[in-house]
Amino acid sequence: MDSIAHPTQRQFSPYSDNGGTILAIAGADFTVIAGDTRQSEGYSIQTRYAPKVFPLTDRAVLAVNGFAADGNMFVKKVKQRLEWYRHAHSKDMPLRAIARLIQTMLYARRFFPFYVYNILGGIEEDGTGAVYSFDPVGSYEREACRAAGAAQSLVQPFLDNQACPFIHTSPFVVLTVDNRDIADLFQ
Amino acid sequence: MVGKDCVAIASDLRLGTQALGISSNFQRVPVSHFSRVCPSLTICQVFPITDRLYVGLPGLGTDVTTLYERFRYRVNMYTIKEEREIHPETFTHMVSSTLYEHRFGPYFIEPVVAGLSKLPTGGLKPFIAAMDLIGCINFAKDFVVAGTASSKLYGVAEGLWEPDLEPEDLFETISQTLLNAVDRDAFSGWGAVVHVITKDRVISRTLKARMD
Repeated sequence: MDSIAHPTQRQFSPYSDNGGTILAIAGADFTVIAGDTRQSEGYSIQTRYAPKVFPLTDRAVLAVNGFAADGNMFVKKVKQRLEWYRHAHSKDMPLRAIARLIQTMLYARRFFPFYVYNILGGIEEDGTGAVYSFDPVGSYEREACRAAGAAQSLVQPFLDNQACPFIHTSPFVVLTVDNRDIADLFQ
Repeated sequence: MVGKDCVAIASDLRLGTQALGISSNFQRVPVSHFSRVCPSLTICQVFPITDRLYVGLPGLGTDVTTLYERFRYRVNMYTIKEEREIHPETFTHMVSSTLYEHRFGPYFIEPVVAGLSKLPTGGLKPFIAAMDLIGCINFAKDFVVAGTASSKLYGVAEGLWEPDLEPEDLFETISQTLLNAVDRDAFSGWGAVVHVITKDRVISRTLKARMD
């Protein structure tokens, strides 16, 4: 009776959005980088404590936002590359080199990307605070401050106003904000 | 935004269709004629303008004009019939019902109302409200936002606004909020205007904004 073959459709959806927000602000000789710890899918909360800010070296911290599984795997791979670098060169990789490494690692997956927005914060070799932000395929930029994730549109203009008041005149920081100012900002 | 015995309303000046900018002098917050309209023009000119009321109409350009003219007509009729100025609360409900009349084919406008309403005691109370495009009213006690940069406005306003700001501080707060929000919105900007409504005067200023 049911001799006709009916067309069937199957699909595999490899990505999801796990919400959350991350942000970083560069100072003259320091950087603050932060992220919430809620992990959600749609309206349901999977956990209230899943950190997405990871120390990489003594002078570099990486925050990952987007698809949590990709984020965790990406951090794992970056850490692995940094360890190999330590074994080869007996020193930690400098911040700007980590930034470039992240670009190549992301672009290597150009056609099946890590669905992750990265913000890299830390101290450069010359001692200045720096923030690098990336899109999922590796396009990156050094900036004074950056927010990413679910509340990016709420946080970014506030950061422009409070943390980087000279964004309109200079490409990136020459800020001399002391730690107390930044702490006040997030009280 | 609400302040201490004052309110402020502000808007950018850009008119455009998606990415294409058309005009950088589009008044989205027209000065209301509402409080000036009365049965006789001669009385009007000696009338102290105590009741101040502004409306902002962000959205589809044609609907801005249409609705503004409609509100002007309806408020004039109200003023003539009632022989008194319309209150901000009354006006807000009038706007709301005008929008809801078109529930299934709405005007693409999200109005924002700001004014000082009269208390029975004779005092003045700051009043603000915002609506969605079918007239659902949000009577906020602090601030309301609308338009393409609304989420950005929420972020900055939530961070900068505090209760009981004096007129000059309220001006600074609303200006910083608007400028920093529209500078991150591709569809907003190209100049801005701010009106601070106080007990005895309205301070209107045009802001110098980024034009890129």
